[in-house]
Amino acid sequence: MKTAIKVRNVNKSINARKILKDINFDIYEGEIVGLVGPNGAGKSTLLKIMTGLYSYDSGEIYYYEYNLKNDFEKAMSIIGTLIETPDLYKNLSGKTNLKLFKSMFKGISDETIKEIVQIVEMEKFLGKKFKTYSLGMKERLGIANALISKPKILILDEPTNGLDPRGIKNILDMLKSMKDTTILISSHMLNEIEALCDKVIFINNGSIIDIKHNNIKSHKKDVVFEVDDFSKARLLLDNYCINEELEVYESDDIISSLNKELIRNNINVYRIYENKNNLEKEFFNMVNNDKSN
Amino acid sequence: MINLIKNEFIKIRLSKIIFSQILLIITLLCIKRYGNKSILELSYNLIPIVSIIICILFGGIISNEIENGSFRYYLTKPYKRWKIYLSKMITIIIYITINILIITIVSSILNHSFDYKYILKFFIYSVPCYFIGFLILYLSLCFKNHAFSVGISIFIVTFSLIISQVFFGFKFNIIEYTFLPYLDFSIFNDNSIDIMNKNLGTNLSLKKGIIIDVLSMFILYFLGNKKFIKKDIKC
Repeated sequence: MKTAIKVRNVNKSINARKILKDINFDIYEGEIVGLVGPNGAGKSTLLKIMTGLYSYDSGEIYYYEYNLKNDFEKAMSIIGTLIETPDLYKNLSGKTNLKLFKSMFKGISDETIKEIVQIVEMEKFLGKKFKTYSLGMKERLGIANALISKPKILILDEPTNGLDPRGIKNILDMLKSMKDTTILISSHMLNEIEALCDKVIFINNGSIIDIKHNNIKSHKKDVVFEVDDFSKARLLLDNYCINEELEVYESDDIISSLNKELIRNNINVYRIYENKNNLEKEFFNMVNNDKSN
Repeated sequence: MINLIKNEFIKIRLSKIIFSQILLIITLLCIKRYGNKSILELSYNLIPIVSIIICILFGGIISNEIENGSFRYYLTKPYKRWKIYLSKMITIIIYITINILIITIVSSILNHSFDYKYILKFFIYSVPCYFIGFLILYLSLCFKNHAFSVGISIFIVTFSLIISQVFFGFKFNIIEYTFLPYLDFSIFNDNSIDIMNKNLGTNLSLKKGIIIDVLSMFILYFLGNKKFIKKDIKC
């Protein structure tokens, strides 16, 4: 699998304060990767560096074979961005805004704009001035702007900020449908990240704490057994448990056989439930660990 | 680059540009109607007005975009920063040149004569306008709020000569090697500059003014470009 985004030893200081420390990660072609961290962790700074809005002190960023510093124009021609709230030119109409941004890329036809506008369902509102749009409409036009060059890579910072549940669902569905596009998305909405991403990068205090593959999109499941004889059950499932509880992370077949094993050993299984809040748990673990340190 | 320049004109909006030019033509007609000298002579008085229009129209050329966040999208497109900065500079230069052409052509029509020497002289006397264009671009980059850049630049255009005279009054003649006394070349159009030089002990001249203004433009452009390339866009 090709590496679409390669970040190596990126450091950034602002006013002698280290904002990012030795950031390293790879994102492979077609992957959807979430960037998660508390406020002030450095997520937005990292995304702004990756989109050329901020300079960086050291390190390298590659989009496919293009180095962001040395081949800026080539690198940016394969990227679409939506950084925080989409503030396009408020005195221009949606259509003029898109035309203005379209003119900055080579070989993009009016048909492409039409296609993208259809995807984001903005056909009816393109003639209106941007300043008259609701937040949801602005967000959709922002996404249309990000997609205008049919980018191979999308970098999105809080793309669902301020949207209602329907708006969030529409945008998530749209992102899910973009099969060949590599997406790096930062969001505080852990549920969206969990539902959307193949991989999650945890960032705190300017450093990457962990990079995890998302369980929900995996064929394995994180389940918890509730039984009458905990210590006996713990001994039986010891090789499978992922923590001090009766919690396992396995495929359906293995979970079923573990259940049979418990019953065979005269342990009453009251409940087996899926733990769906992995990411939330990880997030709070990260924040709490940071506080205790 | 042409696309970037086109985009700049789209952003300023055609209606504003046309309005400013209609304003200049109306002023010329008023001068023709009520002025006591020839229209060609009086047309030089419009140069400071062009400078003020530039300050108002282009005061937010960078700061506005940073302030309202649209730069986040503009700068993440495949153009190097120096190209974007240059496109803004060229846009201002084109706007000034069009305005100068409009003034000279309309004045010539109203005077029923066409004298290329007048047009050439008008362009030379408009050098401070171009300098103001470079200055406003630099100020727009330095201040987050576009009102600051507009206010400061209008203050400089309006009071630069008075401030220079105050400095000359205190025998601080080094000021004549800065752009301050050279933001309105109409002082060189009659003998008032000779009286000023005699009374204040200065050596102001049109030639020196052109050299200092052009040099200052290059310095401002170089500094601005360097700052713009390295600037973190916090919006």
